[in-house]
Amino acid sequence: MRGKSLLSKVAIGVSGLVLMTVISGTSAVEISIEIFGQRGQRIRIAIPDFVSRSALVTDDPGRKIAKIIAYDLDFSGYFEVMDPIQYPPDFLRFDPNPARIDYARWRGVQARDLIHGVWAARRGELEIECRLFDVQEGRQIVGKLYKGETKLLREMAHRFADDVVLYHSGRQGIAHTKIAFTSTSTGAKEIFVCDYDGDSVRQLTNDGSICLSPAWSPDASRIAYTSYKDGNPDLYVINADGSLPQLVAAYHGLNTAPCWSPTGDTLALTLSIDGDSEIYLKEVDGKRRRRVTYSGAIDTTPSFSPDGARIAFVSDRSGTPQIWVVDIDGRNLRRISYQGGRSFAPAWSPLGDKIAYVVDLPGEGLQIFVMSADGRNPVQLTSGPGWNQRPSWSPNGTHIVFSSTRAGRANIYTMRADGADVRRVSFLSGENESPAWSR
Amino acid sequence: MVKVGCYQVGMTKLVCRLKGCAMPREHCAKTSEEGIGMRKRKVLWLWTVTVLAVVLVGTGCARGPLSVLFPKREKEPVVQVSRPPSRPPIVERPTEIVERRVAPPAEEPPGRGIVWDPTDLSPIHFEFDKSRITEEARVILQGNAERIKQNPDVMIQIEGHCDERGTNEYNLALGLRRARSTREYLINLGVDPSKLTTISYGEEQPVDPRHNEEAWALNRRAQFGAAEQ
Repeated sequence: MRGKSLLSKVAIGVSGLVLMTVISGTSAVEISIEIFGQRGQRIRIAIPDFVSRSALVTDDPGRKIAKIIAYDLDFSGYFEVMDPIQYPPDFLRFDPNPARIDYARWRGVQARDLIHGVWAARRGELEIECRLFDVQEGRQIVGKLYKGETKLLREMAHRFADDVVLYHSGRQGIAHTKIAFTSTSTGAKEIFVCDYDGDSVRQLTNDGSICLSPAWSPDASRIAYTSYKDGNPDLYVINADGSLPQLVAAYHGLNTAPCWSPTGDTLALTLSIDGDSEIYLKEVDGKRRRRVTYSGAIDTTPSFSPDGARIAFVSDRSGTPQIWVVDIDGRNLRRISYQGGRSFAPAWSPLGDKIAYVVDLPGEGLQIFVMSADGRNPVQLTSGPGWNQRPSWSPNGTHIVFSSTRAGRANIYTMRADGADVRRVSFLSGENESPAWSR
Repeated sequence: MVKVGCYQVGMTKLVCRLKGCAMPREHCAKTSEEGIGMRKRKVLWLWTVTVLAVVLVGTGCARGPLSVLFPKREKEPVVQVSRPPSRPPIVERPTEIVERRVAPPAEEPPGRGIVWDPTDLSPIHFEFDKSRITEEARVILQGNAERIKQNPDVMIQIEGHCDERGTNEYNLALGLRRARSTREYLINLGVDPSKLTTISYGEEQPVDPRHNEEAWALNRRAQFGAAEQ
């Protein structure tokens, strides 16, 4: 509806005074659900550089903040971020006072949403005031103020982008998430972590040996992985900041392919203590374990369903490696992959409806597929040149991170769940593989 | 002794008196030529001894009487030798070095200790995605088994490896299967099971990093090494 109601005026006034408030009108939410119901209807949004209240600006972060939010909203797949050449013709920058926005000019260039941002630096701290406006209705729909050390600039920008995505999609955004992966850039194979957009890479382990298969805990506070640092593939859990590595399983033989249960207190993993490789469940912070599979075949790479009731895994008990599913009590064991190609590395989508996995295609090598959780409708998502493997879902189920040799050495890439919008994320030397997406 | 008057040859006046001669003084003054000569020699001898005694006593006085016979060794006085300025000063070696002799190595009796490195054992190779022991591998393992049995004190680690056609995790399991399959075969040939351990490295340690059939065939293998004791 056109024009501002009294309620909206009061709401805007209040948001300008109070820190960290979120305002949304019920009518706006209904409209946005309609939009997301239709594919291809992305929200056209303008994100000009953030402005400063003070006249003196040295080392201006305003452009950087806007660019990070723009990348996040573009990545999400819900938005069409406007290029500056599409802004109103005589637009230079916003006035720091958001009440002075001329909505008519923005309607004239078909902007649906715009973000007005103001930054200020005080005593080594950064303060960012972010507002999302509905251009059509000329009113604020999300308003937030973030304060923190200057080094947290990226985190603050990511938070606002997530707030925008939450408003429009009803689901938490992924701009704050991280990716763990293995890299041989130091000469040995170690675990590294970076932001989901590839920024802020840091080394987590320093074992000087072989580290494999990182897996994030559901609350993103810890990472499980296998390390050969004591001469055997043993299972460790380390804090996400790299502190306190803790030995969780050091049975004779394999302690590999960890996957956290949704409750975060149990790991599904591969052990070979009873002869050959089998799936077991083991307490993370305890000694209890339970065997899940019982066959002389290879059984490995377990992946929990999001409700924690079932496990998808690889078994070659039918002759070739294929994807099987079993209830966690060991019942209802069934094979779900039937194309015939050797299949590996199942990853159950956080939405529960799909499983991504890897198929060894004759002539094309390892490629990523996705099928429904009951095995129907397999769809190929990647193709050559190069091999693509180890898919891992973003926590909202919209994207998949994987490793690819399409550029020569193995590197980490993300793509949308339909295979589109492939972006390279890792740039370290050596082989960068085995990615895992955090919550 | 020949007496001349009361004067014995070789006696001095003093000695004659001490011997209790009662003759008047004028007698003792007279002496024969021989007596005079002998008397002169005796006087000289006595005089020399007296002088020496005085000298020795004088120098030995400060350290006690026996120090004359057992003089202490005195330190050499430090003599500063001035060196020509163009030569660099000689660096003093540290004095914390401990030196001692070591005995020559004892002859080792045959068969004791590690006389051979198990990495000498030939590796065996596998078919794609399989862990069965091929005909060629059997021949190699028979030879390996003999050598292992000849060195019963050595612990052997059998490593299972894979090519890259599969995920890392799957290949860790396949590699273990290959290592265990090899171990089983060696045990069937009579090797002591307690001498054989297994480990899998999956696709992590290829011998040939290329991405073709030739490399993959070389990487699908079991190889041998010394186990940690």
